[in-house]
Amino acid sequence: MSDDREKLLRVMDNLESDYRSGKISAEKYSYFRSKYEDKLNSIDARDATRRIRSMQGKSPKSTGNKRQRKPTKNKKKEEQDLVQKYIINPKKSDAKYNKKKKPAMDSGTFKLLLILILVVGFTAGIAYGIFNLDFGSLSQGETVAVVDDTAFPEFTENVKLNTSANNQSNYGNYNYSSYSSTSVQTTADDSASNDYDDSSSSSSNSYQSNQRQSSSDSDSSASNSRSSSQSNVETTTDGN
Amino acid sequence: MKNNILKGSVIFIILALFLISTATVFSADNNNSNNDLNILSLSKGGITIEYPSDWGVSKATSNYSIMAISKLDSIDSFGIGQVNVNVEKKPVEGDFYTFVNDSYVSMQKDSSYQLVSAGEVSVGGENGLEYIYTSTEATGQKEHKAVWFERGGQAYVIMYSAPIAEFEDNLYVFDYILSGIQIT
Repeated sequence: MSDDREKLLRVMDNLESDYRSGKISAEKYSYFRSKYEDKLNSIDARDATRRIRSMQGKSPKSTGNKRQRKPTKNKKKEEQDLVQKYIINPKKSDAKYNKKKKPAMDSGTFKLLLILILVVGFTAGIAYGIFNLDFGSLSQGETVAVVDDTAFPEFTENVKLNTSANNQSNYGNYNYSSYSSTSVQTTADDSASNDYDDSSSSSSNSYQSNQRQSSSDSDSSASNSRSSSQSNVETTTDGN
Repeated sequence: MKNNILKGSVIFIILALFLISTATVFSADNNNSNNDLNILSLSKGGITIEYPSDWGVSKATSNYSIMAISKLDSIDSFGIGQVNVNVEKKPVEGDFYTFVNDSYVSMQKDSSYQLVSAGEVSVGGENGLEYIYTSTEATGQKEHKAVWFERGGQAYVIMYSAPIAEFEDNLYVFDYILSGIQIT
């Protein structure tokens, strides 16, 4: 009996040392300690009973043997079980103190799933971009034509000139800019200058042509240096 | 457990790919059906316009031009866009309204130009002026619609020009451009 007590005390010492070294938690320690203390108390109680019986003159063997036979048979086994159960491998018997929460799925699967989702997301995004981006709207660089029309043209006033019989016209005061649209139209008596070309009002398709068609006399004072311009100066010549 | 997750993932991917391919097929069909007319965008000098794809970016001879576009089938053998829209700007000298009106007062003295109408309009949230006039040019008579507005001391003008016979037919494009113009 005292052997049991000693062994139990040894186990309790081990428990104490495990607890101090941090091998077992405080919960487990208090749980096992209370269990061992209960056992120790029961052993002490049995010892006390035996002592009382011997003091009363009763043979402790008669009952004691009957009572002790069973525990002593499995004593070693019980000890081994205790040590195995609570010290060496407490997981088996006390699962509720050793429950570790397992993740719902292991990290490898989770990573794989995450990669798959990302791949699908990128694929969907790229496909959406390719099929919805209007590449035509991005190509703005090439010019296809030239635009001549402007809201800031230089206007030319129309002036009627009455010249004397010497048939001299003065065009020098007029502005023939590249944006002006002027043409020379000459009206004359039959007897006067037949040098003027009546077809001067006909238009030309050339943008660089000079539509001014005038007399062959000394009217060259007009500015002929203009480009894409059409002079529209009406000249009335007095034939007398 | 792991196998089930893998199977589920594979099925999910196949479904996603199927949905994507279906969507792209429908999208391609829609694009094909709209191939006749795409809307293009052009942005320069703080002005952004949208125009149909049968018009193209052009180079304007005017020094004041910001951007210009021409109708592709109106470009003649000399490369001149007869039907065009030209966006120009010029620093305002004095009052904006006086500045614009003076231009057309001068124009009336030139018999090549005939003022058709003038009035006030709103363009891109700005109050502006609208002038319609005709001009006689070497290639024939053209009609012009100029819409003016002022921004930051600059007079902006968006002018649509076309031969008289084609003016009305293409005016809707100019109206479309004006309705979607963005001024920044």
